[in-house]
Amino acid sequence: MRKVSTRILILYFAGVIIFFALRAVLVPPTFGEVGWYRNASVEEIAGLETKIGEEYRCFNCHGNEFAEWSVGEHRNISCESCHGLLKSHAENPEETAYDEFLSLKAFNSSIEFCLSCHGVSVSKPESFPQVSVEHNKYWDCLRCHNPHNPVGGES
Amino acid sequence: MNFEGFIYPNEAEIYWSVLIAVYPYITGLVAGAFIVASLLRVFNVAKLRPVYRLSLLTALAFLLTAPLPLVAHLGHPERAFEIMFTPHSSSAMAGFGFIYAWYLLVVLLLEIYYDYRKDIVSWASRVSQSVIKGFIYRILTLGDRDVSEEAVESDEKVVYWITVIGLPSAAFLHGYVGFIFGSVKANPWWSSPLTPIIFLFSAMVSGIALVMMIYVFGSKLRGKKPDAACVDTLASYLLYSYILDLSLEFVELTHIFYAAEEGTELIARLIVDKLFLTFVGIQMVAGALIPILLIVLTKLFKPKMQTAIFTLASILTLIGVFAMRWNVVIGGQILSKTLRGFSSYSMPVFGAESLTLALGILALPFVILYILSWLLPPWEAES
Amino acid sequence: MKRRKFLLSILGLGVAAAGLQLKVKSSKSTKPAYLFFVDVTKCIGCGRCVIACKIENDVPLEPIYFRTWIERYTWLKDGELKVDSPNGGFGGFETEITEILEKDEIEKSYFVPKLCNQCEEPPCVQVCPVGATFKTEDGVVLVDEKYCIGCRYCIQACPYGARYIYPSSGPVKSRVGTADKCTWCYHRIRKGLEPACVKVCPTGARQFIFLDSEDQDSAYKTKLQKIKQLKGLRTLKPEMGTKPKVLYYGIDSDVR
Repeated sequence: MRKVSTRILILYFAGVIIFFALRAVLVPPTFGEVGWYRNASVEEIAGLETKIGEEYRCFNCHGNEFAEWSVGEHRNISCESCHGLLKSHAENPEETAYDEFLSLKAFNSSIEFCLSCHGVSVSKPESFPQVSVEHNKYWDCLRCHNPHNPVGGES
Repeated sequence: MNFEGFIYPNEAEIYWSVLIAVYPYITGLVAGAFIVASLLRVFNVAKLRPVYRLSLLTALAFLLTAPLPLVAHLGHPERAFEIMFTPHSSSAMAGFGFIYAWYLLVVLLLEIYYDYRKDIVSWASRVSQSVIKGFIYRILTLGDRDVSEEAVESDEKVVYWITVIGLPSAAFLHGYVGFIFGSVKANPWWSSPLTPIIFLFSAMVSGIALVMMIYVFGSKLRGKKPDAACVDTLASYLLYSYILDLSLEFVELTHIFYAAEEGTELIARLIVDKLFLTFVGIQMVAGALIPILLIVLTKLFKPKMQTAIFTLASILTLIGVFAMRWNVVIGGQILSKTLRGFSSYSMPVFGAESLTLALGILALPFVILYILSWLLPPWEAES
Repeated sequence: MKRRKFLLSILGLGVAAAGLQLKVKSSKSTKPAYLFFVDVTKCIGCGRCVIACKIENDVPLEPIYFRTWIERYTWLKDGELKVDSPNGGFGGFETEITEILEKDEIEKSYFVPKLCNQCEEPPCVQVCPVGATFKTEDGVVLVDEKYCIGCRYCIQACPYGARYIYPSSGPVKSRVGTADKCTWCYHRIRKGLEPACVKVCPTGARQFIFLDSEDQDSAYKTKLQKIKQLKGLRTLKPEMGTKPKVLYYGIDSDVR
C-alpha cells in the first residue's frame, strides 16, 4: 500500500478508537440493560413525589365528614375532586386546606363552585343532575344542600 | 395563539422551525453539487471540467455547515453526541451521525484529497507563498511527496472509485433526509414513499443550480469570463433533473387527490390557501416553471445574454427549492393531525430559531468556500 | 503488504467489537400491566382532571401544554361537526356550546377526555434517535429527561398530539427543552395509586385498571370484565397501527 494511503488509514483508525473510547466513557451506566434506554430513569420517574395525599388519610381527622359522605350521593367522589391535591395539608394540618385551583377558594361563590359540575350543558350526559338558574338564583347552595351528602339533607 | 378549525392543544406551538427547513436544503445542495462532480468523473461529461473541483469544494463547504441548523434547534445541544453514541436502530434520524461521518470522511474528504494531492505536493515545495499556507500544505502531504506517474495514476483510480461509491452515498444522504419526513405516518402531508425520491431529485436540481451560480459569480469576481459551454451543459442537466423532479411531484399530487383519503380536503386547502404564496407562487411558478421556460427558450433561440439568463434561472431555482423545503417542513406542521384545522407559524426575525440565524447559517458555507478556495484553488484546472 | 494486513485485521477486530457493543441486549418481551378506560357517556367536562394532572405532574399552566385535555364534540343537525377545546378544558368549559351555536341546530354533543394512549406500538419510541423515550416492561411510554436531546421528532410522530416540549416557564427546570408527555402518572401507579386524573374524576368517566393486581382487591377484575362486555369500545386512530391502550366507550368514529 502507498505511504499516503497507509497514513490516512492510521489517522482514521485513530479516530475510530477515540470514538469508542469516548463512547465507553460517555454512555450512562444503566443504558441498554433492559432495552435501548437508560434503565435507571424508570425508577427515577417511578420515584417522583406524588402530590395527592394517601387514600382515605383525610378521614383520620375529618370523621364527621366521612360519616356524611359515605352514605351520600357524592360518596363515589374523592375528597381531592372538590378540595384539591392537599398532600401538604394531610401531612401537616397547619398547612392551608385550600387548593389554588381545585377548591371552593378558586371560585367566586359556592354557587359557581357547585355549577362547575352541575351547571346545565347540552354536552353533558342527560342523566347527570344539572341545575338551571331558575332552581335557585340568590341563595347559597349550602343553605339546602350539604355537599358531603347533597340529597340526603333535603328529605 | 393563532389557529383555524380544531387543532390538538399541544399543536399550537410549531416544533420544527425554519432551521429544520434549512437543514434538508443544505444537505440537498451537498448531494446535488456532488452529483455534478461525478457527472465528469463517472459519466465523462468533459464539458464540466471547469466546475469539477469547484463543485467538490462547494459540497464540502455545505456539508460542514449541515449539522449547524440541527444542533442549533435542539432543546439540549450539549447532548447532541448521544445520537452517535447510542443511535436507536429503529429511528431514521439516528442514522444522521453515521451517514454524515461516512459521507464527509470517506467520500468527500478523500475524493478532494486524492484529487488535489499532486497539486498539494507541488504547493508544499513552492517557496514564494505565505508561511501559513506552506505549513498547511506540508502537513497535508502527510509526508508522502511521491508524485511519480504511477502514484498520480493510482490517485486517479482512487478518485474514480470513491466517486463510484460516492454517488449512491450522496443519494442515500439526501434520500434518508426525505425518509425522516416520509416515514411519519401521523402526518398526511409527509407520509409517502415518494418523499425520499422527490427530495433526491430536488436536491439534484438545487445542487446543479448552486454550482452554476457560484461558478458564474466566482468567475466574475476574479475578472474571468465563465466558460459558456460549461454553463450551457449545466443548464441542460438542470433541465433534465427538473423534468424528473416535477414529474415525481406531479405523481405525488395526483395520487393524493385521486386516492382522496382522509384529510385530502385539508391538503387542498393547505395548497390553495395556507401555502399559496410559497407553494404555487414560489415553488411551482417562480421557482420551477419560469426557470424551465428561461432555459428552454434560451436553448431554442440562443440569445446573446445566454450565461446571464441561465444564472438568473439558477437563482430562481435555488429560491424555489428552498420554498419546497419550507412547504414540506412548515406546511406539514401547520396541517393539524386532527385533520380538522391549521395552526400557524410566524418566524421570529431575531433570536433562537429566527430568520437572521437561518440566513447566517446559509451564508456560512460561502465563507467556508472562500477559505477553501484560498487554500485549494479550484480554478487551476480550467486554464 | 504485511503492515497492510495487520492494519486491516485490527480494523476488522475493532469494527466487530463495536458491532457487539452496539447490539441491543435482547430486550424482554413487555407485558402491559395497566389499562385506561374512558367512558364518554359519563364525562361532564368539569375539567378537574386537567387541573389535577397539571399540578400532580408539574405541567406548565400555559394553555398550549397538556398531558391530558378534554375536547368537546358537537354535531349539528345538518351533519356538520364542530370540535373545540378552550384551554384544553382546564377547569371546565366556561362557554356553554349553546352560546356559540344555536341550541336547536345541535344534534348531539359530548366531551372526550384525551391523554397518552400508551400505544403497544408507539411511533414516538420508534423515531427517538437516542433512546430517550421508551416503553417500560410494564408497557408505559416514558421520557428520560436526563437523556432527551430535544429534537422533537417524537412530537411529529405522535398521531394524537400527546407530546410537547417542556418550556423554560415550567416549574421543573431539569425538564426544560425535553419532550414531555402523560405517563399515566407512572410515579403513582407504581405505588398502587390511581392516576391523578382518575382520582379526581367525579363521575367515573376515567377509570384505571391494574391488570396484574392479584394481591389487590379483585374490583379491577370485575371492572375489566364489565368493560370487555361493552359494545362499541373504540381506540383512537386505529388505522395508524399503534394499538392504543386507552379504550373509549361512547364515541363516534369521527372522534380522532
